[in-house]
Amino acid sequence: MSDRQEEQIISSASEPIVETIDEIQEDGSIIRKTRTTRKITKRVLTTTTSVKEDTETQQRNHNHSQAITASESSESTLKDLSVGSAAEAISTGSSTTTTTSTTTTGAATTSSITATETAVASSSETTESEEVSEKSSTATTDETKRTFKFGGIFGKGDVDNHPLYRFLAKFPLKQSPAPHTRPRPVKPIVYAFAPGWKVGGQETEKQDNKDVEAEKKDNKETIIGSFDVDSLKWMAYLKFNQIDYDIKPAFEPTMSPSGKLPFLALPDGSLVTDEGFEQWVQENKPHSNKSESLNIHEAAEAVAFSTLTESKIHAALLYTLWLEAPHFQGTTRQHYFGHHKYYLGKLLNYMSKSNIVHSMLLTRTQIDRELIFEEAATAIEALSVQLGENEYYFGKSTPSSLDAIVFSYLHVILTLPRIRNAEDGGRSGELARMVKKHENLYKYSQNIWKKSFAA
Amino acid sequence: MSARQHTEEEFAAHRKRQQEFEEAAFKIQTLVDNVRHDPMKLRKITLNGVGKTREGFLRRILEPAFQARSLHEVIGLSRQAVRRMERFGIFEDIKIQLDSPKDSWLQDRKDLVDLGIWVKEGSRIQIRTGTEAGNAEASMYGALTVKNVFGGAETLSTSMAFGTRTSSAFQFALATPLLADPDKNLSINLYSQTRNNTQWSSYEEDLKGGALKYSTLSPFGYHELAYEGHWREVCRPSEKASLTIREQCGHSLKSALTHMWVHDMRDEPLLPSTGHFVRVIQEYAGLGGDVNHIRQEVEAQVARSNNTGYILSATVKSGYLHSLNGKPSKISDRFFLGGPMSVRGFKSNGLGPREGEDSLGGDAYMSAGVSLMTPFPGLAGLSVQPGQSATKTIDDLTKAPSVSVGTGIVYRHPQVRIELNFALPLMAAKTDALSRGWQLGLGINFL
Repeated sequence: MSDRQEEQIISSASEPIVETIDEIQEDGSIIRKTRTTRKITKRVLTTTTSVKEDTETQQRNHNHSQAITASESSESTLKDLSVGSAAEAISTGSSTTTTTSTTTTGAATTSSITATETAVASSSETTESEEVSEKSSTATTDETKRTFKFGGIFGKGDVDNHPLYRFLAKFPLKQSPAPHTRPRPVKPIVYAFAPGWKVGGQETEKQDNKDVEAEKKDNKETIIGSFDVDSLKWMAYLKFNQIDYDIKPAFEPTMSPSGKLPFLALPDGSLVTDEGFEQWVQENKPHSNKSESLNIHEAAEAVAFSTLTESKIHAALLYTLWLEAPHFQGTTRQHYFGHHKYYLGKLLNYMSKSNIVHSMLLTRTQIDRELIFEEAATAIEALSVQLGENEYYFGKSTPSSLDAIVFSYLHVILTLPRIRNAEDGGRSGELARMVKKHENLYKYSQNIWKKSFAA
Repeated sequence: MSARQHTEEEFAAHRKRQQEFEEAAFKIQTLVDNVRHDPMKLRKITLNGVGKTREGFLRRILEPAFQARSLHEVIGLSRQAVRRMERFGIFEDIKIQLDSPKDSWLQDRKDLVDLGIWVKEGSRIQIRTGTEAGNAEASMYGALTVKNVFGGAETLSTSMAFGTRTSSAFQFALATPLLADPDKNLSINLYSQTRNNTQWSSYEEDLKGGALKYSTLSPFGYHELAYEGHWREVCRPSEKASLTIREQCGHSLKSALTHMWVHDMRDEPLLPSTGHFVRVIQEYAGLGGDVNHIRQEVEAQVARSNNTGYILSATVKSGYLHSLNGKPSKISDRFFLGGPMSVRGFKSNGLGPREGEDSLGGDAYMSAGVSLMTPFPGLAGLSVQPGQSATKTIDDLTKAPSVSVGTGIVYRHPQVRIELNFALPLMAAKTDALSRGWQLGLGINFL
């Protein structure tokens, strides 16, 4: 073959590198930007013989790059469909930044293009990609959100093809940015009954951990712990599994999809409630070989003990909080309805109490104080015996879910304020006294608090 | 020939009779005219047929008639008094008769006259059931009304309604006219209702409360001053509710003073062709309760038509909610915009701040609409409507309105106005819920 000056410009792209950057705007909201970087190599080939060999490899590379491009585009549109509102935050905050650097080294010009997540242009041109990608991104977001309700009326087939829909899709002619965007959370948020304990009005137990909790007069203090058993259980469990989270105080059980607080709001927008919580934690905890899992026997015992706790001790705690005057009118109302006006709080308190009584009567024919407290005492003793001198249950070095459950009950019982009221003869503190009789439980609760929360 | 004579005679007799009638009428007229300004007083008013109505109440109504000083005034004032009695709606039938006094020692007195009124009191208890269609909602209701409960034209009504947008509503109201004036009304309302907002905001709202209202007519228009106390609960968020809506769930207490002024000079409210209309509502919430804000809403409408039946009407609606204690506003107090009754071309309450599929409502809004109606059999209309809703500041309001344009057919039913529009949004925010194409609107208050 003669020396033909064949100029072939073939580009090949490398694997895309995705980096996520969180930028803090002036008004305090955080916008997450994802940058997809691909290196596109342009080869200008002039000789023929060398072209042949190179073409194949180049073509292979080209096909490969096209394949990457195609899969990338489908990926990003899928992401658009599933992420919903989060995508809006991204697309409104993102901008297509195109940096082109052309370095000519002999016969090869390498240009690197940085494009946003949604803008995928299978382009070998450099500057034009900016406008093209912007249009395509709006087109994809358009189509995923503004679908026609009666798309099938004019027959099957592609909705876009019908001239009426094509005409209608042009409207609105001009779009302005969304008036409200919610910044996407970075960490999962636990909506729980919080904050923990507040000093004021009642005398509190003198415990070491109390001062740390009590310093929440200043709003800037971080919230730790909770006065509600379920919320504290979740917080403890998350802490044990080293999952970082934010707490948002919430006092309305109706706000949760399952009707019970706490629930978890994940950064991608989905919510985790009671049923899926433990599974979610197990799936999302950072993998390390430090955690030891329980064997079959221990797991079965753990189930037994947790059931014991959640029925017997829970009943006694409910009785103390809701069915005995001193705590009911003071502590419980303050905790659960303190943010309402006084009389509304009282009314809601009474309404909740009748619900609690109703739920208690589902499992027993009558509410007998003696029986409940007797069973609770037995349960506490059993827990104490099982714990022995260990740091955590079953002698493990890291706490398990049983530890979370037991700790939450013990902590709430021990941190109930001591009501110095001669009328009730000290009955309101009976549950706390029962726990304190067992030194190891007391120390155990304090220990976990210090290690996981107060540290 | 005899037949013709016959008719001529008849014709002459007829004309003579007519003349006699005219002369007699003229005589009476001159008689009354001469006497009209003669001094005359009303001595006694006798009411017959009154059962439950209180004497003091009736006395207040009829008191002004005693100030008449001539026959002309006597007739005029007694007619006015009777009209006032009619307006209370408690009497079915009223007949009056003016006569000279029957007492023997007053035979000579030509300047005294007695008024006799015969009334028939209407039925006191009324039960109504039915269906009702209002602003894009329909409901079934049952109402029990007791009129004239305490003898002073007080109305006691209890009603129950179940509907599409207001899932259930119970209302108990006691209204009484003040100072025997049918224009001045004082009423106490107690209500409990559930509003279903799941379609546009994925939550339901329970509201229980009461209001004490005073309404009156003045030369400027209709005024209503009220004190409201509401206990509302935002609850039952649907599955797809966004986090912001979930965070709004909960109870709140509102204790507020409101004032409403309405000045309506339109020829008719449903489809006005001339006149103007202004309504201003102010609300100050802060006398106790959880919310402390000032809320203001203004609505104005102008309509002009020409002889050929073309009607041009323009409406402007705007509102502003300002929180006085720095806390963010609650969704129960915010404004919503959009829909076939408001800015057409958008889904119901679909404009403004939204999250996911939920409309969050705004603290300030502005909307306007201009329509041109043509005398199609049934009035077709062409309208242009910009609207904008914002949460943050007044600047946001004017930045980027959502504008739509459309055309359609309007049908004016005696109770309600029905519109079928083909509307297209020209400018919209990214998150606005659009409703391109056909839109049906049914209601009373249209933008």
